[in-house]
Amino acid sequence: MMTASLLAAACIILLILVALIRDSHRHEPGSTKVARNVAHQNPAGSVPCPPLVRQIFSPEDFTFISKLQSQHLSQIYSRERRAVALFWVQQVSRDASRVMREHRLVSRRAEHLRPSVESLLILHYVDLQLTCGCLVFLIWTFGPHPFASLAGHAGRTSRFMALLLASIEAGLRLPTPENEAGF
Amino acid sequence: MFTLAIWWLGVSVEALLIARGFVGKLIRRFPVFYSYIFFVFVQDILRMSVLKWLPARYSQVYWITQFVSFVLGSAVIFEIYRVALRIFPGTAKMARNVLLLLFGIVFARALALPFGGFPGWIPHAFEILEKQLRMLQGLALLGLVVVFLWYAIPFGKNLWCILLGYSVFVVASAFQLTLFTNYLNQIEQYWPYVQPITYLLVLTLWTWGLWSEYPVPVAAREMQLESDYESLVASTSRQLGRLRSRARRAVLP
Repeated sequence: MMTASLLAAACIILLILVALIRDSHRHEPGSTKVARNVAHQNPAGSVPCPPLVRQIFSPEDFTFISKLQSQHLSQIYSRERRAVALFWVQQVSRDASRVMREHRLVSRRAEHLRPSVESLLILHYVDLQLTCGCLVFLIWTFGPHPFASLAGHAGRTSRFMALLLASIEAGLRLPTPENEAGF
Repeated sequence: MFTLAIWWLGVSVEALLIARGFVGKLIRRFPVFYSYIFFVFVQDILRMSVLKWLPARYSQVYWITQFVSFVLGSAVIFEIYRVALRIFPGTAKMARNVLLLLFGIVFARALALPFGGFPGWIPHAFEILEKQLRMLQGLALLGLVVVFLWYAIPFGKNLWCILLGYSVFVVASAFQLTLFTNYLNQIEQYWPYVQPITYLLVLTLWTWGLWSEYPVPVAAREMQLESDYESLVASTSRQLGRLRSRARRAVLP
């Protein structure tokens, strides 16, 4: 049954991919050589510069807002900063897709294309997209400062576990030699 | 009676497909595909004749013609690869490497699995062999399709219909043979109808898609010199590296 299910899944994937082939070439960017050169010179022009990236994900602003002790303000801050962080990550992902799309459309005619080099580029691209995917998941789950929030969450969880274990040990009243003498 | 009607209908559609190939001048573009269709047309007539007049020989004739049909079908996959990638030598090289990798994995797996001995294998030997070969064809098609999509290879209606029809045929065959070898008791009464009806649907798709010749969309020419590829790779690597370091800066601000 397992084999038949896997086979069915593989067959469905193959047929869907074949159906996608028909129009795949229509999404080529209308890039001339000049436009391609401009894109290569300014490849990630839409992505903010590094200091701004550090500011988006740094918990400094969150610490400042927290000190004001206003729940409403904290909620507004989290919502807006989360949107900015998500937008940045999605922009990186879109830029990576654009870079790879241009590379694919140009390299497909190369007579001396090197499969090993192409495979390495594909691995780097997949790695980048997986990183962006993980960041999106973490930002959605833990907020705009995922790793600071994650560290805080881990700390709170470990303190809770310690309290729980202490309660269990106190409640069990483990037998001591003084207690057994009563029987 | 019903199976005979399906058989006659299939033979008629095959004859129509071949006739349209001559009229639409598609035989020159897809010689291997039309050779395959012609062989299947002759095979169907031969099998029916043998079944009627020499039933004792039917099994032998069936499996010999089935094997030749499989070899020609594999040649159809090669023709899809050759026609689609004629002006894309880089993509053709990637496709060859992908196929070599997939076949290597399949053969390594076949060598690694323990062979349980002939006695248990013989009763359904040919069905199992055909299932394995169809899965191999399916794997080759999957590898090709992924490469076609990745490099956005333009497809005309004619070639797309050949690819879609043969993919449906291979997928249906592999699936039916899996059901046949594992659930024979449950499907035995439907088995004589399933494959012929599926093949008839595929023939209808091919007839519709190959009724006349359609032009292939022309992809814009980008590459000029060999040195452009090296600089392209360097530029792409540089850009991806830059984007990756920025993404990691978000993780480690």
